[in-house]
Amino acid sequence: MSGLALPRLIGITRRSPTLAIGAAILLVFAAMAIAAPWIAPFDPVQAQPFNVLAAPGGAHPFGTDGNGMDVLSRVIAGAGWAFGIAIPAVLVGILAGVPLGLYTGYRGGWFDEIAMRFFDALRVFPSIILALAVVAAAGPSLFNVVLVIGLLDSPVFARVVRAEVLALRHSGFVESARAAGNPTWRILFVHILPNAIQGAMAQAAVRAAWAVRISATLAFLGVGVQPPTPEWGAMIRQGAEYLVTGQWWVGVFPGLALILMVLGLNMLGDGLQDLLDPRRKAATR
Amino acid sequence: MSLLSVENLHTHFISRDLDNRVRVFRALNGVSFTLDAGQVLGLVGETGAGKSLTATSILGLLRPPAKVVAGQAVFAGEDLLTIKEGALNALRGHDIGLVVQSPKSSLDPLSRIGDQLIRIHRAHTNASGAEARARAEAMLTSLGIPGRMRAWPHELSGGMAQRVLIALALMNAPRLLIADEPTTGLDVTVQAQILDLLRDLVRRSGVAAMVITHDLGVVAHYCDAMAVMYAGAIVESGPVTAVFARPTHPYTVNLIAATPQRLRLGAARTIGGPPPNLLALPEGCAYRDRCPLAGPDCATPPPERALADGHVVRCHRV
Repeated sequence: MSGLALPRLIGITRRSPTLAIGAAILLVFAAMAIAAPWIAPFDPVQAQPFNVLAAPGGAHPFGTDGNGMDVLSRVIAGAGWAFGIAIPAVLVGILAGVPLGLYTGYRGGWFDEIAMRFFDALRVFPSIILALAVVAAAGPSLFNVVLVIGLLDSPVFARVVRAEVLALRHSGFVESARAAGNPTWRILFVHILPNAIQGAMAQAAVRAAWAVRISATLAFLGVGVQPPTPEWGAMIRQGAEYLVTGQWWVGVFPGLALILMVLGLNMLGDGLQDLLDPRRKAATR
Repeated sequence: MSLLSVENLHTHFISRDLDNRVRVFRALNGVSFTLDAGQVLGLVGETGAGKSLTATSILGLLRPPAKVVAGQAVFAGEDLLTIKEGALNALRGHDIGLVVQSPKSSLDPLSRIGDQLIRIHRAHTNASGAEARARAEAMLTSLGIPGRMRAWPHELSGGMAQRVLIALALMNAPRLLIADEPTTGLDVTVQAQILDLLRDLVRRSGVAAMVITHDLGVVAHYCDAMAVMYAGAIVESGPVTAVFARPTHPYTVNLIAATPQRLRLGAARTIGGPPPNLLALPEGCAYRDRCPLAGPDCATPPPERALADGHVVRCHRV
């Protein structure tokens, strides 16, 4: 298998350039996040009171911000924060949403009906306002931000899984599993889950993009991760103040990083969906 | 005492129409039969007669809106229709094996067949992994597909998949095997192989088997007893030899006459008229509208008449 790694990589790139580009962008960000302490020229939270708002160039390629912190170092460190929020948030969403989707889809009836209407209500409500309200009430800790984003995400996973389960629950092998005397939980987790999880996996990348975006939004609005933490949303908020006075570099560089990462995650998600669903691929090509 | 005794089984599909009136679709209307250990019973009838539904009702595999509304199905002293779900799960797959139709879709596509065999064995017994593996390998060998433990379901042909399903049903040495059209969709040579295999297994291990089919040839060659179903009821039953020697119910007579004969060209005889509408069954005998012998007395429920050798018919015209 490993001997075929390179030809396989090329094959996947051919079949879905979107996937390859998205994955490449994310790999760069992941490398940045891991290697941040070594590749960043400065400590991202070390203020230099005598070198405030320096223009890009020289020792500070991206300039410095209002506290004299190096913007490049902060953008690099921000990748770690973005992953650190998005990945646990998506995990929370999957852990809460997937079992719920499995059970409601399999059981059906009034329970399914109530759960789905509850999810609808949650989806209709603007998620940013909901997240804002919850985080504002519970306090702007990293834990709360992750939990809120994850829970707001769970209906999406529940829906995707439920749709698969609805198609699978009357299939022959599920009926056989029942005839073989399997209890419900076993049918759900051993037989249905592996067959129903593909869609949710492709959805995970798209939801991670959303998580990155909304955590930045929360920080921008001042209720997420707090400055001077090198979080992109918080940095953009800081930069917004200087935009009118001409120090564009404070906000633009973290903004570009944010756009690139969200783009990369979305491309990865779309690419995965294409790859996993041949019908969709045929329709788009 | 017989191993399985089904008494007066009624299964209805209860739904509501657009005007919110209750609609009752009477799919099974009093099915009764018994099955002894070591016996092979063939259940025949046209599509929609309730053959498969009889099996799913007995096994508690019905889903709403289908519901058993009356009757009992006593298996080894326990009524399967009132037993608790947990106890039923202990019986299903252990004491009762089911071989379903459409073998290719009845295997979990994401598990190797060896793993599926091992899982069903370990779910019902205390066998160790190694013991279960050995048994699974032996089972596949005895079914003529040795060395396929690591195969994926999509790699199997229809006949092989059907053998795997039989292996799954037999892994825990059941006392009752229910085969629901085990050879539908297989070509004739494979059909014969599968049926021979099933018959050998039954003879060797002494399990009771219920074979659901619409192929009278299968019944004639492989079964000891047969029951002919029409509109959710058994209209004629008895030993295969007795029923074929003297088919008595007009439906059975027509069914046997409609079987294509070898080397005889020309249009086959058919049974006139559409199958009965289960929403509005005729009063009395359900076959009345299509029966060439129907008379005014057929508007009352036909009596059950016993002929020789356990041959039983439900008809006014005996």
